[in-house]
Amino acid sequence: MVQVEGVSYSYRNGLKVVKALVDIDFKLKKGDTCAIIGPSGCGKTTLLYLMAGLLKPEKGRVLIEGKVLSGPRDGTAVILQDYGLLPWKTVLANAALGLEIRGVAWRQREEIVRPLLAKLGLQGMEDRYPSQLSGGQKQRVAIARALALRQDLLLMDEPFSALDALTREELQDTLVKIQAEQQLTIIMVTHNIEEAVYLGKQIVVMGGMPGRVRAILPNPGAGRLGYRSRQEFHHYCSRVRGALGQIDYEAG
Amino acid sequence: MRLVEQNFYKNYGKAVLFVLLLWQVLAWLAANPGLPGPIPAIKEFIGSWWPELARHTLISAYRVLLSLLLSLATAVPLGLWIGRCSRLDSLLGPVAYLLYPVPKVALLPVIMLLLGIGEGSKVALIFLVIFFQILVTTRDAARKIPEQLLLSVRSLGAGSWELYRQVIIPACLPEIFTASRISLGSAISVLFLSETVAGRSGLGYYILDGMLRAEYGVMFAGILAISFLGLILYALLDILEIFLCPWRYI
Repeated sequence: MVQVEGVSYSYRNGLKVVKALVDIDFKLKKGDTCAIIGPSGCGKTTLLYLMAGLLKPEKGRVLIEGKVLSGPRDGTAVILQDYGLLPWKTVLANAALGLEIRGVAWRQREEIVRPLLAKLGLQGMEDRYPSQLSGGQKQRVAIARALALRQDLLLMDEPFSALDALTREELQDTLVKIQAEQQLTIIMVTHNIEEAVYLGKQIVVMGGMPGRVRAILPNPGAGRLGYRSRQEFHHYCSRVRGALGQIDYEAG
Repeated sequence: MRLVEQNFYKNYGKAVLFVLLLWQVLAWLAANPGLPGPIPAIKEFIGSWWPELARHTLISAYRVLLSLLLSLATAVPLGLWIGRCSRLDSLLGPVAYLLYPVPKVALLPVIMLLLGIGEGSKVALIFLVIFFQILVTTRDAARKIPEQLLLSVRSLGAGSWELYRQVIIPACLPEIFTASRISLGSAISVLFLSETVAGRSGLGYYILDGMLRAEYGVMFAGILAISFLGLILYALLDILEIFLCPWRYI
């Protein structure tokens, strides 16, 4: 489904050219989940933007369903760090934004979005504005907006990092359920080890400046409710922590 | 009546009361027939020859509104465009900065030579003054839109027109209202000036004419009319903002 082949990227900082990513390679099957984890500044958000088609690689290429990516793709939903909700639109209009941009009529938009919002526990909040919502509720609206387009690939940047622990686990469970129901392919960027292990069947460990892939760990138990309390879960958390620790050691 | 509207009327009521009080105190302190207190002035205002005063007020209102609308219609699209296109900004930004501080009022004689002493020159002068105020404010508002918001909406498949419609215009709307309010004040002052210099219509002429004939009551009736004109236009802007930016009033 997703192939990242030898991707490098640099950005300009004034007159300086700063290398952000070097030779990134990994693959993901359809319906799988992948967590990209690494310390801040390792370029993982840049990598997500590249897979979203919001940036173009300087070297290498990103293929989605066998096609080279050259811009935002119709079937890809993206949820960026601060949810990207428009403050001037109500919950309903925000969730329906993708449909509106695609020219779907208002009635149809409501028919698609209302049940989705209800499913995500936002019933009765359709007419509120984002400033009237809690962080978790905003994240749910962003998920509803992504799901409304029935896309097959969901990219998320630190989706739950701004939330308190309880809300975070609740939303992680919501995401697991949705993923299982819709066979979504999900790639998320995170710096939280437990989140990566709970949600990513494949964990890409990144590190360094410029960022490189340091390890790719399979994590077959991920994506099941209740995985958090299993022995295996803690085992994988230690492995990821180990892989990340090695990086710190090398960098230090 | 919604709470927003209730507060709206209450606040305007308090403001009028406050200004009247301040005026009375100043009139007592000045003790000069050139500055009568609010009560004689309001009496004069009510007793003034309404068709005449109304005619001048309407002409002034027309000039202010026409120039405000013309400036908004040109400066807002240009400001949004410059604000979102750094290459254009580096080209036109300095031009705007060069022209902005030129005292446009000093250009009034030039404008009158070019456009005559009719409506054209008055509207043109106000336009020149407020165009840059709106342009610079709108550009700055467009510049500081969070990049994440634009990327999010782009990732939903928005092209540049949709980005303007869904993100850039609504994000700048509150600042455009602020610019309009500031410009409205400037517009009324410049209008007053241009009406006192040439022509025989508008509140500027009416007030100056009252002064020259030493009819201070007429003069103050004109001053009251011009402040009511300003008040009504500001209130209209507030109402329009509540209507167009409902997310800011929750």
